Amino acid sequence: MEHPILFLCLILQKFGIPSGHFYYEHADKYGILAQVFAPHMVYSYFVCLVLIILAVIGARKKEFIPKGIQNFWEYTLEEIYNFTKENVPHGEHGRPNLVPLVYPLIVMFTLYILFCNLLGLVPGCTSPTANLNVTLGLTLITIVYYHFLGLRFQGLRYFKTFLGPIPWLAPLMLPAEIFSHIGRIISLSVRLFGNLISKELLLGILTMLAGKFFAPLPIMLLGLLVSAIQTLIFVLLSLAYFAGAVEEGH
Amino acid sequence: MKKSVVLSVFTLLVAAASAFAAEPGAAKMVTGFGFFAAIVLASGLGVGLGALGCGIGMGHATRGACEGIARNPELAGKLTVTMILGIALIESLTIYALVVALILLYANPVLPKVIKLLGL
Repeated sequence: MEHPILFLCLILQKFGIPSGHFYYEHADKYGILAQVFAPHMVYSYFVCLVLIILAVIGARKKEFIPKGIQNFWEYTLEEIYNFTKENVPHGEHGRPNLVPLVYPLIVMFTLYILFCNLLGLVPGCTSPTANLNVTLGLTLITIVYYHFLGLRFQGLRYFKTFLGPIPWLAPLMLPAEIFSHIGRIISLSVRLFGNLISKELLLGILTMLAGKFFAPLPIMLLGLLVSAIQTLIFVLLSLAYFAGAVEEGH
Repeated sequence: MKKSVVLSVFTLLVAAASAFAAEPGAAKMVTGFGFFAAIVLASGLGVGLGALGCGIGMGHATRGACEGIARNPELAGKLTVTMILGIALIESLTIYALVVALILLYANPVLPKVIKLLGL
C-alpha cells in the first residue's frame, strides 16, 4: 500500500526539511532531521502546539463567572478531576492520597490521546498514535510511574505483593505476576496502536476502492467513537494500575 | 480389492509428483502453494478466528448489560459505561491478532532470509 499524502509534511518539504514517509524510511541517507521531522513526530508537535495555545488563551483572564474558553477548560478539568478521584485512592480511611501525584499526568494523557486520535479523521493528516513508537512511549510512562508509586508508598514490601496471599503459592504466583505485568506493557500499547492503525488502513482502502461515493464516511463515524473510547480505556487502565500498585496486600 | 487399487494408484501419483516437484524448487515456492501463499493464508485465517471468539464474548457482554438495564433502568448510565469498558478490553484481543497479521504481511522478519535463500 502506498503511503498517504500528508499536508504538514508537504509544507515542511517546501522549506527544504526532509519530512515525510519516504525520507523517514531512508533516514540513514538523510540524517537525523528526517527522524526528528518524521510524519508522526510532525503531527505530534502540531497537537502539542494546539494544546499549548489553547491553554495559554484559556488561562489569560480569570473571571468569577466563566465563559468561552475558560468555561471549556474549567468543565474539562473538573470532569477529569472527578474521574481521577473516583478511580484512585484519595486519602480516606488512611489510604494514601494519589490524586495530586497522578492528576496532571492523566490530564496530559486524556487531552493528548484524544486530540491525536481525532486528528487522524481530518483528510490529509495522520494520527501520531497510529504509530507503535508513540503508544509505546505513553505506555512506558505509565509502567515506570506505577512501579515508582508502588515503591514510594510501600518501600521494598512492594516486591512482596508479587508473591501472592499465601506463602506456599509463591513459586506459582511469581512467574504469573511477572508475565501479567509484562503483558500489561504489550497490551496497553498494542490496543491503542491496533485500533488506530486499523482505522487508518480501512479508511485508506475504502478511499481507494469507492472514494467518490463517500464510502469512508461510516468508518469515520465509527472512528469518532473508537477514538473517544480508546482514550477512556487507556486512562482508566492507567488509573487502575496506579491504584493497584498502592494497595496493600490482597 | 478396489480400495487397494485406488490406494496404490494414489501413492504412485504422489511419488511421481514429488519427484517432479524437486526440480523447479524456487519457482514453486513462490508461485505455487509456497511461502507467500502461506503468509497470506495465515493472516486471513488468524484475524478471522480471532474475530470469532471476540464476537461471542461481546454478545455475552451486551446481553448482561441489557438484562441489567431491563432490571434496573435508573442505573443505565453506569451499566453502559461498564459495558463499553468490557467491550473495549475484549476487542483488544482481536486487535492483537490483527497486529500479528499486519506484521506478517508488511514487516515480515523471515521474508528477507527466505528471499536470499531462494536467490530472488
